[in-house]
Amino acid sequence: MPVKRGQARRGIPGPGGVPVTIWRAIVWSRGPLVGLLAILALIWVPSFFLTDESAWRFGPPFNIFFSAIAIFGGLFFLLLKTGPISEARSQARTLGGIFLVFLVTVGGLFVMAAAFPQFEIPRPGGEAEGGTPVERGKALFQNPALGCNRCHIIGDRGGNLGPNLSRIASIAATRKPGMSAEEYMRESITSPSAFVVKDYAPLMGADFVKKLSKVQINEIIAYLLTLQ
Amino acid sequence: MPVDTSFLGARSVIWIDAELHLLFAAFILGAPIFIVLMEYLGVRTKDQRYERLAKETMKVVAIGYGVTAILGALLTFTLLGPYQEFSSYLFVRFYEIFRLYGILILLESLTMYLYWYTWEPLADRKRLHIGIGIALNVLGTLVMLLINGIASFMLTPPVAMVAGETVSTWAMIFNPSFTGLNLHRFIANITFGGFMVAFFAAFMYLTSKKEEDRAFYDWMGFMGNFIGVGTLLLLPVAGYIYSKELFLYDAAISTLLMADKLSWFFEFQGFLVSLLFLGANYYMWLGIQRIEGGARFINYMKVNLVIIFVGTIIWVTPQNFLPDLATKLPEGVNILDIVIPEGPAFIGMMMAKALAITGIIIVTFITYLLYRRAIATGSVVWGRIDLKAQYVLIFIPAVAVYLMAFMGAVRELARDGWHVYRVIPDTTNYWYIPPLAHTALMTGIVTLLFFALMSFIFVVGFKVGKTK
Repeated sequence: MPVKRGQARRGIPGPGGVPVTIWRAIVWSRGPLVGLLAILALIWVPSFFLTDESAWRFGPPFNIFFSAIAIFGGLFFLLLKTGPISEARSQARTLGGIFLVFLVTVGGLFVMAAAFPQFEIPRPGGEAEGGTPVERGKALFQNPALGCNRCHIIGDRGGNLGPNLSRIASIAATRKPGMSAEEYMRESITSPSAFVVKDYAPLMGADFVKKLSKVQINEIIAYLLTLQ
Repeated sequence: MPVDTSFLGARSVIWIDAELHLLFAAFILGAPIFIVLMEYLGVRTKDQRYERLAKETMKVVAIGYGVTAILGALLTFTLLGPYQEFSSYLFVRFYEIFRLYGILILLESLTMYLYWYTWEPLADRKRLHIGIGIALNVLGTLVMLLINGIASFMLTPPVAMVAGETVSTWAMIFNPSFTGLNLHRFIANITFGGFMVAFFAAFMYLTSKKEEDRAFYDWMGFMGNFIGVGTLLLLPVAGYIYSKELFLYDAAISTLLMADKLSWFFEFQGFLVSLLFLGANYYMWLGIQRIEGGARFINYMKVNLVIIFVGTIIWVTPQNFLPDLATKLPEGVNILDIVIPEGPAFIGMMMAKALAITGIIIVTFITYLLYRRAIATGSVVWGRIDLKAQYVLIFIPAVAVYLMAFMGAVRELARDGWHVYRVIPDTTNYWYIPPLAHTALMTGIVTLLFFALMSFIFVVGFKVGKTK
């Protein structure tokens, strides 16, 4: 039932005659609060007594997870104890209230998602990793963050959307007249559309020049030049 | 050469474009099913409220068509920019399908206008008008089937095609997850339509002053929520069928979804679905108290809410706190602290989670039966309900839209770096799966933009120019 502003604060009885405002509800309705404290005790107290060997010992991340759910549950059951809310004073406030529901809902969901474990997005390897330039170049080529071997096969590993690179060191110099193998490879990495091998689509992105440093490009070329 | 989009990046732009377009498309496809049903009930029961509900919702749908079309055009522009090679790939292989799609959209739009503008002229020939409405729904469903064929193809292309063989267009359309996706989307569209009607009703209730209007919008909100929740009960079953199809196609997809990078996305989904059920039950809790004598049922409902809460805890309890299979245990962290202990390990298993959601569904159904029982033994005074109920009817659609947009993203991310799974790799800067927080943020932006646009439609369609 819509209640006029001010009536709620004066104490319109809610379901079963229980009080109205959320603060009064907290004070008066012991049920959800007592229940919440009992559940929190049930979650945390065993941690002090159970050892790692126990088949029933939950770790702190689980305890925090269950506690958060229990607190949400406590607030939800507390909400059941509250009475009707009052009418907004103006249309603008009503629209503001509707917008606030959206904002709090979406914001709350984002906070919840951000609190969950996050995996790292793949990144190309750093320049200072160990090994020879050829080894580092090979590691970069096989790095899933770059995805070179998703399209190019070397030996028996890789995709077939791009040309086979198993013997690229031998054939690179023959691809474009007047260009050495190294020059051709560099151009293919930095501006892939400059020359597209016959029967292949121009699928390769032009952003490897941004993703990779000059040193890393040199290392990949060093590796490709070993593929005779 | 493909271009990137400055500031936001190509993926964010297509993410927002595609999801906004799909949300509006789901609304204009789902709501007419609801509308025709309401119009039919109006004829059968002679209750004028059904007629008004159908007509007012149809007005929102009619305005929504334009927004959907514009968002579709924006989506196409984005596809033709940063994703031009992939778009060319799709257009070449599905050229005839896209042509048919365009023709069907034209026919659907014409039928929609016919349905809307003949509402008054055909007031005495209701059967004919309902027939036009059914034709509108048939055309809308065909449009959905066609585009679902392409969307499902991207995740589950025919196995022969992955092996390098050429397959027919129809084999690509009728791919291994075509049925599952259609079933899930068809039911979800009705659920969505119901919740959007509830949202509209709550919006109108809160911004109306007249008693009779409030009585009507209170009833309308109840009906929208009823249809939304009624079909929501079927969605987990459809979801399982769809998941099973994916598992049978390639178990690696299921591993990615349930045990690897996307497993915490499903944890989050569990919370979202639970919030929907809690919201729906809370709405009925508030609603039953305005029924004469309904208060005697609230203790039973409280037990139901406790059961739903326990079910939620079982459903969302994770097996471990590792974000994916590749993450190494940080130094100083005890593995026993982040993995579910052996004793209660059962609640981390799929079987327990299936039982939990089944329990939540059954209990929600029982809550509805209690509500029906209360109505049967006491009269309802529409328009006299705690205002909280109207805000709950805004909260539920907000969560439903968020859930739809979130799960849409999960379905796209399940391709794991491929535009077409194991056929066309994503070679853009954004090929990788983004973390959960990023996905949740993008989903939040999409949800807020969607509701801003919908609220604009409500205000323009129903508030601007009305005399006091």
